[in-house]
Amino acid sequence: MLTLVNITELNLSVFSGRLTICKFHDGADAEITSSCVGATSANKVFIRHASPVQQDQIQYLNIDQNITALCSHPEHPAAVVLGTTSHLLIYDIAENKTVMSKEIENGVGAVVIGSFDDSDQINVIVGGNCFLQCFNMEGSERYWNVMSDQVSALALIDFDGDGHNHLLAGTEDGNLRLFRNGRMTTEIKETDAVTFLIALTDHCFGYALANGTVGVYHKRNRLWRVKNQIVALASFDVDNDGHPELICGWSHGRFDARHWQTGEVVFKEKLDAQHSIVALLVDDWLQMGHAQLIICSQLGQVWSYLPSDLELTSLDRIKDENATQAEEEAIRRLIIRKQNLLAELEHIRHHAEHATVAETVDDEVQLTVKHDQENVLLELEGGGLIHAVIIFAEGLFPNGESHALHLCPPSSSAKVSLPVQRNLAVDLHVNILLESHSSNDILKVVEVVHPLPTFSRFKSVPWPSRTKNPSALHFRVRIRLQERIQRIGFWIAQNFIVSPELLASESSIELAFEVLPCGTPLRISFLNEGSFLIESDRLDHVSDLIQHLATFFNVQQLASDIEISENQFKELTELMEGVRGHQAIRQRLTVDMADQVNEVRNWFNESENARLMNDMSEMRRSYAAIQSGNRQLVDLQNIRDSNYSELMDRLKQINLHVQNSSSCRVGKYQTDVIQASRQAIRAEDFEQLIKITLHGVDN
Amino acid sequence: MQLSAKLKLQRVDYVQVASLKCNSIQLLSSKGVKHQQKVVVGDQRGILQLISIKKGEPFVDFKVDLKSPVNCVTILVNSNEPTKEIIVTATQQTVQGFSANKGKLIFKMDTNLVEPIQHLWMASKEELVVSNSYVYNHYHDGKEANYFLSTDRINAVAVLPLNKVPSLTPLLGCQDGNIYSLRDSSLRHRLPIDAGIPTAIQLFQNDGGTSGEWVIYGTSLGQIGLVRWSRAGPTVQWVIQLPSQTTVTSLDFYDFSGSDAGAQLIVGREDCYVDVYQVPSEDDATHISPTLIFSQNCNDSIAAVRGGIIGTDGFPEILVATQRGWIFGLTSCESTIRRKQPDEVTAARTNAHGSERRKQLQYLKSEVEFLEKQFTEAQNNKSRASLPASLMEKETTTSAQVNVMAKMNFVGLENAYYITVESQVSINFILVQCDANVQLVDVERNLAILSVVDSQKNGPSRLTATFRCQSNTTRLEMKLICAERNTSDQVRLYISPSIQEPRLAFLKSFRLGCLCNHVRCHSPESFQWSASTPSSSLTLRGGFSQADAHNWIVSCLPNVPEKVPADEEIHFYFRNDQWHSKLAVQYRRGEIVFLSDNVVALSHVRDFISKEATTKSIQLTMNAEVTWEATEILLHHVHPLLLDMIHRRQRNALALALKEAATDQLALSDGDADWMTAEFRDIVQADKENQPSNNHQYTTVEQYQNFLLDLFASHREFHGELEVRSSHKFSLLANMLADTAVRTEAFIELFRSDDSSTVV
Repeated sequence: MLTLVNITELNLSVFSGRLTICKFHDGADAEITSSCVGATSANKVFIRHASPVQQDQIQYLNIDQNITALCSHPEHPAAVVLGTTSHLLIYDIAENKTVMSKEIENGVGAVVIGSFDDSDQINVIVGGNCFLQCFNMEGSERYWNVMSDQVSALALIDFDGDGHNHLLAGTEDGNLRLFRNGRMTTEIKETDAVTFLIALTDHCFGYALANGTVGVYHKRNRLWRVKNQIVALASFDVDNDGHPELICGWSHGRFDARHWQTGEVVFKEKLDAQHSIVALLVDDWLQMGHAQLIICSQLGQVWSYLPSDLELTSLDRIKDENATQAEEEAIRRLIIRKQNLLAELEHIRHHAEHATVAETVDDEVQLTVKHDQENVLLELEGGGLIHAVIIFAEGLFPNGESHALHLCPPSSSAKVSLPVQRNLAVDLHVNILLESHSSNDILKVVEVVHPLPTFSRFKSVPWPSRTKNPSALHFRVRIRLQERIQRIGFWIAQNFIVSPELLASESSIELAFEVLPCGTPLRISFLNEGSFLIESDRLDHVSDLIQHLATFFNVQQLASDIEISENQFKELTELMEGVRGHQAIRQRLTVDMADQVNEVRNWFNESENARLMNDMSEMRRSYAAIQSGNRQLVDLQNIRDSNYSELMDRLKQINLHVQNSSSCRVGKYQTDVIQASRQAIRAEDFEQLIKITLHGVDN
Repeated sequence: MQLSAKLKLQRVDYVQVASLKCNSIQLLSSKGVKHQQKVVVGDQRGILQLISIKKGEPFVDFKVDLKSPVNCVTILVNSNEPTKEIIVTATQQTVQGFSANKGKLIFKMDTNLVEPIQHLWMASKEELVVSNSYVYNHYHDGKEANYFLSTDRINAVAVLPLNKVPSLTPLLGCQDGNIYSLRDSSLRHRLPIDAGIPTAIQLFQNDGGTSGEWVIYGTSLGQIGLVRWSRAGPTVQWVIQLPSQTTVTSLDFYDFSGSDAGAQLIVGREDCYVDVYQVPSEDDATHISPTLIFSQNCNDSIAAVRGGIIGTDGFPEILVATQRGWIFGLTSCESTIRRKQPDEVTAARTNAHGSERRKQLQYLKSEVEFLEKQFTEAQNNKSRASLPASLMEKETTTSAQVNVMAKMNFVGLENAYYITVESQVSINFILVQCDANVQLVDVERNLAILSVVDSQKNGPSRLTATFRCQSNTTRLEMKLICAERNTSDQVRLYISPSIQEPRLAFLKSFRLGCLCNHVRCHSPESFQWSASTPSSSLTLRGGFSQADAHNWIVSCLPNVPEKVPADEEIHFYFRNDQWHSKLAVQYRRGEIVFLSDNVVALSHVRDFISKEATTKSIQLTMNAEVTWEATEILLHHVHPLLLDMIHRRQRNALALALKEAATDQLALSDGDADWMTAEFRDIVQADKENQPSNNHQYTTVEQYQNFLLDLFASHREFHGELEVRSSHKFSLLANMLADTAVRTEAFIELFRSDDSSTVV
């Protein structure tokens, strides 16, 4: 349903997520021409003009910083928004001037521009190392927020149907967060790093993950997902039904369009050669009056497609053909469905007739499934052997969607360790392959669904004895929650695996846990006056608990007070002080490198002189000096690199600290802490920052 | 592809039956020229049926339940009464003939074979050739006339046409990579195939050409060749290699064009493709090679292809049967072609066709709804009372069967095993398990989510992985890369189709022998150790039987028949294409001798067999003669390859930098690359040309390094040194391997140093 309308060559390598289209007014006659704009591998931006006048002309901009994100400006079509490892830059290519430049200390991971929330103004949002930042066009910061990991994808989507776009951010730890007016309203947990987010129609958005999954959410419900191994995502109305389809580009040169509601493939095409798709864009860059779907390969070939229906000459023919194709496709699907049903019926009938003896034996076999938080335990009674156990659970396992254990030789009981690393309520689909009586090559499969509560990795341990003073944990978080103790008990019973006796007391609940897999201790104590004390060595466990509590009891506002052990305090202070040190080193290194570059340049000039003078020994000497200078430059660069990554790591730690401590609060208290922390970070007042994060903002 | 434009075919689906083999489908001859032909299908559930296509829909003329799998179907044409065709089937040990119009049993004959018949040929009521996996039998007038026992499995059988070649000349394609011709009960000629095992043999132009001596064969590694099998012996005319190293499952000739150029060759491949080649006529066979004119991926392993007129009168078509039991056509009757000719007749037909299709759609919908209801009812009741068996009989032309097929093939080019899983109904999940240290690679066109379990936490099982399939996945591929080692392991696949009540998993297992990357090859002529390069040898003696020895060889090396050959001394020959090494084994009761230039392989089999012997408490004496010359030749071969590979890796890295510099220069000047030296320009150019295919090579550098270290260790160990791997020299060599500056001679020098004695 798409027709190829144009093929061009950029003659340049293109990188995923770093290609866009800008438009230029060509002189006085106001004709618009479009150009491809992309980043090269070495700190440059190329502009490949498509106009007939400037055909084959490539223009370069030197950026001198690694370009990490790139997009075009909706209001200034000739401007490009660039994110680098340390800056955000909006640059008007036609006018050759910087519209806005902003230092982003944390580095830019993703960038999006547009008007959203209630304001009509264009804002630009950058996401990076555990943060989100929003600027208006003057370059002043509108808000700042912390994230749980590196931000890898951003999009503007109207997900709640209020007529305004809102911000959607995806992170490398697989979280999708929806923001309204700078506040997070929803969090969705996905299974791998989010690589692409794209707005579709009717409050839907498409997403893609690093493990190759593609899917569509409607508001916060997932409509469908498939595994696809895709490398680029776009939305484009292929069949002219008014709703864009989700276009997926594959690394081996295939692309397909999937229906936004069902995920059905409505169109697919394979490019004629071994081209790896890296970018999909939608723009009317050929001035045809309708946006084209632009597909760009790694080596710079560009294909442009238009929906076929727009070719008016053959409209009827194509429509007819489409209908025929659709019908034939439908028939094929129905035949498959019919065959599958027939096979299943046949299968049932076959077993009803032949398997009566085996059935009766099987009925005596009792299978029990238990979960002791680290392992799933299976026990077979009454004979029979387990060959293998496969557990499917989305989002639970570090590498993929399932965990399997093969038993050799088969035995009547199995113990499958569960490496749970996230707090997620999920159903375990335990598939057990059992020896069958009829044949060695056919096994029986039994599926048992075993629910896991949200905090299944919190392993209940006995409360440390009173006589021995329990060693103080690093963080003690105190909150007040006006709820009856029975309700708290109910919450615990629903979301934890604890024995009911521990919740029997009328006046207080005291629970001690070890959080798997590391066994980090955590204690919860609740007194009937509504005082809640959570102690742990890790703040993120506490913040997870508090956020869950708040949602469960529908608490809108919640303040909390964090006490911190002396050790941890020292660590925090060191962490923050270290940032200054690293920044100082970084500046010094930059100066050193500039010096070194000049020196090499001088030697080079000298060597050229010597060459012209035919002074071979001098020339040799200069070359040796250039070589050693070059070596030093490489060394310096290595030092700078490691220094930079260390700095990034520290900044990430700080952001994470702000994220975790703010998440120990809810509502206004949470945003206040974030705002105040931002102020403190900007002022480099680390004492203040620690104070704010621990004790909140006094009003 | 521009080539495929030469023939335009469109897929039309007909029916699904139970799984099919390469001989389970045939076409009856048509009533007139360009008239529709009827399809005879015999499936693995034992149903023989005659299907005709009426207005795009299959219609069953008759259906016979033969109770046991139908392995072969052929059509017997009586020369006196050409209209009365007889359908001949082979089930188990029985050959039966049915009338083509009503399906009446005409004759029945029990052969005295032990195993089920796999191949069947019948020229007239008098001459019958049957063969099972190892035995060939010729019956004349219902009496056994000739008999032949093959040492290896028989994969394909063809008989030269009796009307042109009067003496009965059967050709047998065998698992040992040869095509044999028989005269009476004994071998007459042998044609060794150099690429793979013959899997399909078909007469040229379906009639053997003018002389009846021309046959075409296809192999397990995607080779197709034309042979003239004259009385003096076979001569190969041409050989082509298909784009992928896959099994050719079926060959047929059909004339699509109607011109004088002769019929085109249709090729059915295991990797789902159907190809059509324009082949030169007999006279041009030696100097013109075939050209590809059509190729299509059909998403299912092909079992059989037949050219004919099936769906619509006057339009030639390829009838394709897949191993899963789908039968569909690739027809030249294309809806768009018809629409382009605006004459009224065709237009009317198009419309009729359209409404027909809509009717069919409606009908199918209601049928599916009905079945769904049936299904839920059946599920709830779980008793057979609720199942109206009559419905199945009346309504369905056919139905699928819950069955799973899995195959493992070695692809020498990539040094990897490809596993293909196909199921009649859609697959829910697959568990892959292996105790050896193998690498599992997902194939891109799979639509399944692969999760690999961390092997450290999972006991002895080194590989545990699951594929969770999306709905309607019926075919899945995977790739296993396995190094040669001193154990023999099983790869197990547990395949669970997505059916309810009762749920099942099919276990399929394959052996990965310790020398799994060797391939079996031909015999002594091509395989002589020259006097100047004596091979190393390993001799094992002890109180073991020939069967013991055979079992060990079967576990070590691929493609050795399970059955113990009858000879007193047995020979097998293998080669390893990655290292270009050879291995010969000969054994009899009490003695096994391995000859190879690859000491690593010898060391692996020594470890394996001594372990096996110990478990059986058999005493073994070993005697190894390790020659330096053989190892040196191997080193001269492998080390330069390693250097080349490292070099290429470096060039690739350099190309990136050069290209960047080039863009810099382009920005300054007008884009000429004169500033680069010729070498650099070459690098950039080479990089541009082979960018996409470079990725998979990266793993092999480590393979090469490990192999060279293994070679050193094995070599030393055979010379009686202990703990070679912890020695100083071992680490010295390891360092040397990573260095491109080291020349092969220097490496060999170090390898050899302190190594004056050549024979121990």
